[in-house]
Amino acid sequence: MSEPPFDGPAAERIRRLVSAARRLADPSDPIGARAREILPSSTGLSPAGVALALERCLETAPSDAELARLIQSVEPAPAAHVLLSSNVFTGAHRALALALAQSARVVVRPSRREPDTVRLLSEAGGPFEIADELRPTAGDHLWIYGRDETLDAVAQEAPESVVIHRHGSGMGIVLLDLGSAEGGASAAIVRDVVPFDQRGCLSPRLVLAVGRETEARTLAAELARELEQAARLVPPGPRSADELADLAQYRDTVAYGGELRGGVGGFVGCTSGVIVIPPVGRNLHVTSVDSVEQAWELVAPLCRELTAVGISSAPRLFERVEAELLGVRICALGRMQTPPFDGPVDRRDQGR
Amino acid sequence: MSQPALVDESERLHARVRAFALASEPEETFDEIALAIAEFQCARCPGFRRLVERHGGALRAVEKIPAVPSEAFRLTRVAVHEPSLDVARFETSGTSGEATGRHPMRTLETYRELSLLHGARALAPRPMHVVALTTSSPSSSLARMVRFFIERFGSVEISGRDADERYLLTENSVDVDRLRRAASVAAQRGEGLLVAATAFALVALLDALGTSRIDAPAGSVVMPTGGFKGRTREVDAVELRDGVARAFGIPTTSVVGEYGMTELTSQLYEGTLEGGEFVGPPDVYLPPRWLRVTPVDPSSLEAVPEGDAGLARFVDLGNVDSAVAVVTQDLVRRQGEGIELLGRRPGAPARGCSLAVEEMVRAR
Repeated sequence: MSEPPFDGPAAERIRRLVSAARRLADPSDPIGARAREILPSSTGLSPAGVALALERCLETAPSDAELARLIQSVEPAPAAHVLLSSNVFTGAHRALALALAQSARVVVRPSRREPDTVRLLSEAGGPFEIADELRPTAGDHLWIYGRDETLDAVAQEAPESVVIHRHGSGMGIVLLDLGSAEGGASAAIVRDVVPFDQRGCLSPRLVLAVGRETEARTLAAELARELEQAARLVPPGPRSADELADLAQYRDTVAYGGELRGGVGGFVGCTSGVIVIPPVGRNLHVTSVDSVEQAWELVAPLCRELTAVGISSAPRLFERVEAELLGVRICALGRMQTPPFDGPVDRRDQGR
Repeated sequence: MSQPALVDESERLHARVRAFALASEPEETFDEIALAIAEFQCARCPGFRRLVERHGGALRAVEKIPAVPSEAFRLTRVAVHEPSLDVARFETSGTSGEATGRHPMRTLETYRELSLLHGARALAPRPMHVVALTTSSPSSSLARMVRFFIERFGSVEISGRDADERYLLTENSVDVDRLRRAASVAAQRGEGLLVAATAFALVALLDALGTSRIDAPAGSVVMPTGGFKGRTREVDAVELRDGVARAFGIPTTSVVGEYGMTELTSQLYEGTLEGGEFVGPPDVYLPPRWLRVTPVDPSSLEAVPEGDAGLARFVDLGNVDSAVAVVTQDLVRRQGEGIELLGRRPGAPARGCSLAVEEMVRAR
C-alpha cells in the first residue's frame, strides 16, 4: 500500500513544530540546554529523567506516513484550542501537533504546574499562540487534557457549537505469556516504566502473567532487579507526599497479602489471581493467572481505563486484546512509550 | 501450633479482652493485652509476620505494632484461623469494580459483649425498643450488631422471629407503618424507641414522611451510621440530624452518630445523649477503653502532632483473631478524648496523565 501524500500548509506547520521539538531534544542547542535546566523542577523528574524523555520520547523524526496519518486523524477547523492540564511534559508536543494539523490558528493554555515545555517550544519556533484563558467560538475545536473533573468543568463552560475532544487519565498494562515470553521481557517492561517516572497514561503499572505462580514470582524478582539497575542510570525524581502515602498503603497491603520486593528503584508486588493497582513512581504489580481466559476476566473491568497494552509475542493474547480492546494502543514490550506519531496518544474514544 | 491449641490460646485472649472491658479496675493494661494479641497474630498469621518483618521485626510497643491496611481485607483473608472455624464472615460494601473485603470471625462472643457494653453506654441508659433501618444480611457486621441490641436492650430479651421482625428496611424504602407501630409498642411498654439506621435509610424515611412525624416516646434515640456511597441523594450531616430530630420529636442531642467498620470489632459513638455515660460534642466520636485511635501520617504511619489530621489507625482489642492494628484511608483529627471524621484521603493527584489510585484492590 502506498503511503498517503504529505504536503500542504498543515504539513508545513507540523514540520515547524517538529523542528522546534528537535531543538529541545538536542542538548547542544541553547534551548535544549535550558530545557534540561528548568524542566526537572516543574516536572518532578530527575535531570536524567528529563533528558531521557527529551531524547527518547519526544517525537523528533516522524515519518511522512505518520504525519500524513496525523493530519488525516483530524478535520480542518477555523481555530484549535488546547488546554493542557495533567499530562506528561512531552505530551504537549503531540497535543500541539494535532491542533496544528487541524488549523492554522492554534491557541494553547499550558498546564499551571508545568508551563515550561510549551514556552520552550514556542521560543524554538513552534507556530502557536500561548494564552492564559481560552475563548473558543462557534465551529472551533477544543482539545482538553486532564483529570475527569477538569474535563467535565471545561466542557460545560464551552459554547455548544464548539467541538470538544477529551483526553482523560489512563494507564498501561502488560500481558505476558510466561511460557512463550522471550528473554529480556523484564528489561523491556522496565524500559516502559522508567520514562516520566511512570506518570504517563501509556506507562504500565500492572503485569498480568499467564503461567505458574512460581514463574510469576521469578519475573517479579527480575523486575525489581531491573528497576534497581535503571534507577542507577536514571534516578527517579522526588515523590510527592501523596505519592508516598499511596506507596505506604500499597507496600503494606501487598506485604500482608502477597509478595513484595524492591527499594529505591521502585517496588514490585506479586499476587495470584488478584489485581492490585500500584501507585505511580516506578512500581509494578505482577498478577499471575492460570490462563488467557482468566487474564481476560480480570482485565475486562479495567477496559475503560486502559490506554496501552504491552504484549509478549503470544498470538493467543494478541488476538484476544486486538478483538476486544478497540482503541487501545497495543505494542511490543519496550515500545509502549514510543507510539507512532499518528494521532492522539489516547485513542479510546475512537475505538469504544 | 494445632488448631485446638490455637483455639485455646485465642479463647484465653478473648477472655482477657472481655475482662478488661468489663472490669471497673482492670488487672491488665491495654498495652499488655494489645501486645499479647499482636504476638499471637505474628506467630499464627504469615501475612502479619511478613508485615512485622517489613517494619523491623519487633513488637515492643503498641504504637509500633504494624497496622494492617484496610485494603488487605479486600486482597486476602485476614485471620489467624482456618476458614472451617469461621462462624461469620462479614463483608464490606463497596462500589462496583471494587473487591469485597471480608472480616472472618471465629467467635461472636467478644463482638457481642463489646458492642452491647459500649452501645448501652452511648445509646441505651434505659430499656429501649430497638428497630433497624439497616439490611438484615448475615454478612453485614452492622446488622449483626443491631441484632445484639434488639435482643438485649428491651425490658424483655427477645430472639428468633421476634427479632427478625424489627428490621424495617425493604430494598431502599422504610416500612413507615411498622415504624409507627414500633413507636406505639415502645410507649406502651414504657421503653424508649432506639432506631439504628444507615444515613441513606434515614434520608429515605424523611422523604417518605414528608411533613408527618413519628410519635416516638420520650427518651427515644436515633443512631445514624455510615455514609451515602452510591445510594439515594446525599444530605448534609447537620441537615440530616435536624430533620431526624424533627421527624421523631426528639432533641438533636438524641441523634447519636455511630462510627464502625467491617474490619473492626469495636465502635465509636458521639457522646451527646443526655443521661448517657459519656459526654462529648456533636461530630466527635468517642472510643471505648478497648479501642485506641491515633491519627497517623499517611506515609510514615507515625502519629501526627496533636491537632493535625491523619489517617485513622485503630488498635482494637476485639480483633483477637484478625488484625489487632488496622489503618484506614479515613482522615481523622483528635478532639479531646475522641476523634473528628474528616472524610476519605483522596489518592495522589495526578502529576501526569496516569490514572489516580482510588480503589487499589480491583478484582478477586
